[in-house]
Amino acid sequence: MTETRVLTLFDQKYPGNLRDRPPLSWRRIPPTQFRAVNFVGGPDESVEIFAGNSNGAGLSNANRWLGQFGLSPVPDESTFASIEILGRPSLLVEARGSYNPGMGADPREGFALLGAIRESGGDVLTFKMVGPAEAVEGMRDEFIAYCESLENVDLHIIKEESETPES
Amino acid sequence: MSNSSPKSLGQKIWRVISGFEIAVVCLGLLFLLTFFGTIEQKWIGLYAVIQKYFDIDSFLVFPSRGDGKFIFLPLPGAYWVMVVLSINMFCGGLIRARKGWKTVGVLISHFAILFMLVAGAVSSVSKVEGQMSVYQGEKSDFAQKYHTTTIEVAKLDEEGHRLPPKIVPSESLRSLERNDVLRAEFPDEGFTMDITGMLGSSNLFMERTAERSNEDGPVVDGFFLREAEYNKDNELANMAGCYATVKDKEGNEIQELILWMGNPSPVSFVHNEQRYLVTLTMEIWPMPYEVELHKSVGEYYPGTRKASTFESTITKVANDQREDYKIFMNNPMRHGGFTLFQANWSDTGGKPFSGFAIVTNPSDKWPEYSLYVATVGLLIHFLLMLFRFAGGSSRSRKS
Repeated sequence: MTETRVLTLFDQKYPGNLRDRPPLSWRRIPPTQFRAVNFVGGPDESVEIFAGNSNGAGLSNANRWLGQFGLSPVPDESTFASIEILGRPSLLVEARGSYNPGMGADPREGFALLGAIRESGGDVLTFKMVGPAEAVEGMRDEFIAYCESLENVDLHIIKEESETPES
Repeated sequence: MSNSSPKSLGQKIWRVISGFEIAVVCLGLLFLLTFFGTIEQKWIGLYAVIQKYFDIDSFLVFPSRGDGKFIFLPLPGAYWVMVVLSINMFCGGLIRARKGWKTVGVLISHFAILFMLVAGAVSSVSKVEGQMSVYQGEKSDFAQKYHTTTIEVAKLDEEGHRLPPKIVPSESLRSLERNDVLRAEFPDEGFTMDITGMLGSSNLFMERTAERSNEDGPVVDGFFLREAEYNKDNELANMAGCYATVKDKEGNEIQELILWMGNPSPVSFVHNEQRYLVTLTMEIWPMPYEVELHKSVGEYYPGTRKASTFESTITKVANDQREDYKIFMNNPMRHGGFTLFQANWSDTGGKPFSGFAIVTNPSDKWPEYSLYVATVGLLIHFLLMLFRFAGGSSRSRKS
């Protein structure tokens, strides 16, 4: 009953033109308006991992995340560790405590956040992992490896040597 | 009294069906349809005019002007006029026509014209249509077939690249309704997929932000499907949705999935240490070439988001051969049995977008063949007439 199709550029398009290599324990679920990439993982799939684009500077995004855990904003980026994402140093944001996800949802005690923020000129790429603190801590290496494994794949973009025809 | 006058009712009906009168009326109607269609294509484009005037579903045509006002002259759809003309041609031009060596050329020509009409019918019924959507500065090598829904399951290799996907074909899903269950088998992969809750038009909601009613589908991964009103005017706007339960060979559930056509990226599950991506999508239709869209320009009707004119500058790349084209309303590109029209355009502030309708037709060459045959038939007929004339002239000179 099933058939096999040949590969096309449809199979080589990725959200945000970013090809990722998530660990097998992460599972893709439907994306949303603010989560172009959306995973669940960890024990009983209790951890949410998602990525998207955001406005503003890296520091303001990091402070917004800290605010979701009731933490005070920090004055500069030197507070955060750094990892490399797509060839650029990016902020690694961590928080623990009572997580307030917003949108009317109840706060969640004993949660943790591990996030990465990469500024790229006009906008900001954000990667966020939120869940029970123990689970998030256990998935720390996976998350960092995931962020560092990202690569730009834009095979559907016309390369520069393909010039616009004259007439 | 003439011997050819029909006597019985059957003879009278046969006389009408095979008579010249029907042929004349049909040809007159086809002239009007072609005339108004040619005028209207200036405004709505060749592809839309073909749909409006010549499609099998078009029983009655109301020609309209460029400003959207109708010309009050309802006409029968060209497809059905040609059906009547074909029957008339078969009865009158082949069966009823006098047969003999003197009329062999005419009979061949009649057969050729009938063959041309059949080619049109075959084209209308068996052609495949889809849309290739390309943003300016991008390229594509696939279209998506209209009115199809498929489920694609793609395994990933170690580097995370998709392998050629397995497809649950649209023929299997077409008749599926909300309460039906379809089991798709993936024997090579060692799992099955039970597809349930199929909705032809639906919206996807997050349980976190939307209130779910009893008529909505179950919650999976924090999302649920709600049936939406089917949009008959713009069928591409309908987003199908369904649920899929992946089971192993023993029937144990591996994963419950929620699938929605509006999702730009797939969902996944893992089986036997392999990740699979699952997508509900309009059937992907690989093309024998790539289309690079260099420039996409157009204009909207004032105060609307409906395109009034559009034009695309493209390069077709097939087997490393590059050819440049300009595609505009009545100027399609043809290649390898595929015809590419520009069907729509939009520019919402980001990259301009061109929507190309792609049509393939198994009887594409049949009209050409029928013209050759008709030419041969008419040549035979005119030569026979010439010989008869020449023979008659020489006899009268002798007498």
